[in-house]
Amino acid sequence: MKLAFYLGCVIPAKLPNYELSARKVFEKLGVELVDMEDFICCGFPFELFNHETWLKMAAYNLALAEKQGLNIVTLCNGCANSLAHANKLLKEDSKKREEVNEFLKKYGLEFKGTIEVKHFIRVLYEDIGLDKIKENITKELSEFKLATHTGCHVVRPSEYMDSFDNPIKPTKLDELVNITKANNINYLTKNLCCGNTSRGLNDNVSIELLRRKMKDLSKHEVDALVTICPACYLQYEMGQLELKTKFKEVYNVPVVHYPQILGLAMGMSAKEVGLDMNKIKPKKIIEAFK
Amino acid sequence: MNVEEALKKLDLNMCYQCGTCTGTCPVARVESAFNPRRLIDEARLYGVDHVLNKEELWFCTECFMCMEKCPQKVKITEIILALWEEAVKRGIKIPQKFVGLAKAVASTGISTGAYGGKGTALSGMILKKREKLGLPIPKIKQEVAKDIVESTGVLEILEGKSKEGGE
Repeated sequence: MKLAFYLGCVIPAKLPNYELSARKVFEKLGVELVDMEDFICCGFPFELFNHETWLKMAAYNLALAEKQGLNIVTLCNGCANSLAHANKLLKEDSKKREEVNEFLKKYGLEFKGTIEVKHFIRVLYEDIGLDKIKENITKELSEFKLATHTGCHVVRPSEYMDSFDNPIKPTKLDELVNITKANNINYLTKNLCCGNTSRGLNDNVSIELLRRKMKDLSKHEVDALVTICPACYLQYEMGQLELKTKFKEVYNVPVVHYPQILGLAMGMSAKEVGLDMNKIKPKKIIEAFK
Repeated sequence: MNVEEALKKLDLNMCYQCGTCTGTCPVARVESAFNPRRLIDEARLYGVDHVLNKEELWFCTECFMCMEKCPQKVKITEIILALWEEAVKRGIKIPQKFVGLAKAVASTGISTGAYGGKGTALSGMILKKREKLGLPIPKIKQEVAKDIVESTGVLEILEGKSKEGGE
């Protein structure tokens, strides 16, 4: 399987541990990632206050991948949402499509509506499948206690995300964690939004949502919280460091990217999946996979 | 299409005020001033101008849970975002983070502050780290992003210099 790899902004700049582990996992599962060249911002942040800018940016990236004849895979909930939403809108709305194509002409691009956009957990779940992934698992993670956080934009609005997962209580990430045999706990605030998007708009809301989740999780003493989105990951990791310095609140909940966990279960070392770059160290896990 | 018509298309008037949105809203749990049910009600009773000036309009964290759960399929989150777009357009409120974002995208092609300089190059430190890890250099087309930002006039809107002025 060959896919156009849309990196986005935050991951290549700030989260090499996520990118590194995802590339290694895909390689091992026989997926060829073709890095998209000449890409730009997916448009997601503009969806909040300027629809035209959002749609043009998303359309440009979609048309780039269409030119290569490849479906898009991305590691970010926001990119997946923005590109999938625009893809659906432009496939259905011929007037908007014509407008966008008029604009794309000068780059020699056209939106035709021939590709799909998927978050990488959807590729793992639908296109590779749990059985195939299981065949690659060589080390069970049964001695570790994990918790998952799927995030919002990879599942909602469900009509843009093809109802890939339950939009109220998502389960796909849990299924993907469970095949590693880790002790995946249920917790009260599991489906609570991380609050990252409120940063810069209402910081109190952002901090309070973070605090609720951390208070809840710290009771469970998990070895790590598993995320699949750079925004959620940074909210939980950098957010905890902020809670520590600003409010003297210490929770010490290690945060990891799902492909780091899967990589370990597939026989990679802590270093190979970049766990040394996680800022709140999942000590017990690192120790076991030296 | 003006904003009133846009909100009708997002099924503003289908709301029967059950409060499922507020009950499911994560923000309402931590910030009692935020009440999407009331925002929807006031937007149609008193008009868009009334809600555009409300500080709590900006408390939404865009999780889309209310929209997903609404029994009347009112596109609540999208209504709120349409109101944000209108408030920005009219210069009622322009969050600094939007300005920073639009400038970053126009000058680097992407929205991360960590990227620097012209030609969308990654900062030296990041590049070095990527090289060490064997990660490729992302090829970003800054000119296109700049082109798009200029074509929509979003920076002028954010800086209050749009041709439409107060409209």
